[in-house]
Amino acid sequence: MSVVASVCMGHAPGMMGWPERAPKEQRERLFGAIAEAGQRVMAVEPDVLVLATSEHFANFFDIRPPFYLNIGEQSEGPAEKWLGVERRAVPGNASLAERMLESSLEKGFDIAYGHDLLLDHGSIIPLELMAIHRETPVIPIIVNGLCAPMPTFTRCGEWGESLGELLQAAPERVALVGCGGLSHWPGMAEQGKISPVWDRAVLDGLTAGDRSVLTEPPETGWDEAGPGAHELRAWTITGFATPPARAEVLAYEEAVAWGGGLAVVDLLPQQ
Amino acid sequence: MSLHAVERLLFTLNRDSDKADRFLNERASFIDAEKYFTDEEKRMFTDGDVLALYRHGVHPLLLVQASRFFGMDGKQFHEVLKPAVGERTA
Repeated sequence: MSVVASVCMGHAPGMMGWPERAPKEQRERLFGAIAEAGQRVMAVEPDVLVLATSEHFANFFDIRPPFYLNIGEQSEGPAEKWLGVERRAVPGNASLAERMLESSLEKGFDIAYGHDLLLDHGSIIPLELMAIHRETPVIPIIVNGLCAPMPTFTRCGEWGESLGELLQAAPERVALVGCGGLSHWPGMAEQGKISPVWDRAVLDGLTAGDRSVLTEPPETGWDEAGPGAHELRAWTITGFATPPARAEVLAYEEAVAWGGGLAVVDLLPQQ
Repeated sequence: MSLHAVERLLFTLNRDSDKADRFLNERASFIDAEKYFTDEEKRMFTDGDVLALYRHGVHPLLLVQASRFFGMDGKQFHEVLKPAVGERTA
């Protein structure tokens, strides 16, 4: 089969750590959209999820790989106790992960890889809130959207496209998830600042089928979008691994209480 | 070099519960043993001067993750940082 589903969303820690702080109506809209996205993913019965998210110092400090692919039989998470879910093993799919690694290296993408990865909120929030079945294997990808210098958005797109070529031809039914962003200022004095203009420009591009917003982020509002917006790289990898399509935005919220602009997007809505 | 040492300690506190306990219980002697820290960096830790650490250039995510070691919750952390709005770029 091939890529059968593709979803991008945010992963603000407050979504699971302190959900009650957001207004009830906003919470219901966002969680409802995430649940809908999860139902769409599970409805197409994926054999495996490829989940791209950004690093948050859960694994990497001295060594900061631009791209990391976990090829182990499993990963584990969450790293954070305050997410309120028990740490568990998340099954992987070493066979497909090794093919992704070999293909990447053959095509000139000298990515880092390993067998053990501690998943943090960037991975656990989408898995939990989308209610992904716990037996579904997950291949985690970590991109450095945290510490400059970071991989360029263009390079993220190129690697994503390269992965997409392999996954489209793979016998497995693959669901893609990209997690991070949109605008936010984590840990900064400006924490809570949001740029809906920038966020909307990204989403408008995707709904028009214009993936260039993922390799050339909108200039308007970029300075206001904050350092957390660099997590868009996870969307870039996912977006370029997905067959071109007009995306469907399931939700966008200026979630002040959780400190960011949060979106849920189906990149491959069923026609 | 010393900023990296400062960040390394924050990274370590978040991962190593034994060191975190020592930091919480014997902060002054624990920090005094950090051979790569400048005197000012030692003061920032000893005094729990989160605003100074932020202005020193510590990665904000490492700092907010470690705020509990300075006895702060998220709200208090952001209150302390308010004077620094606009000082660091995205």
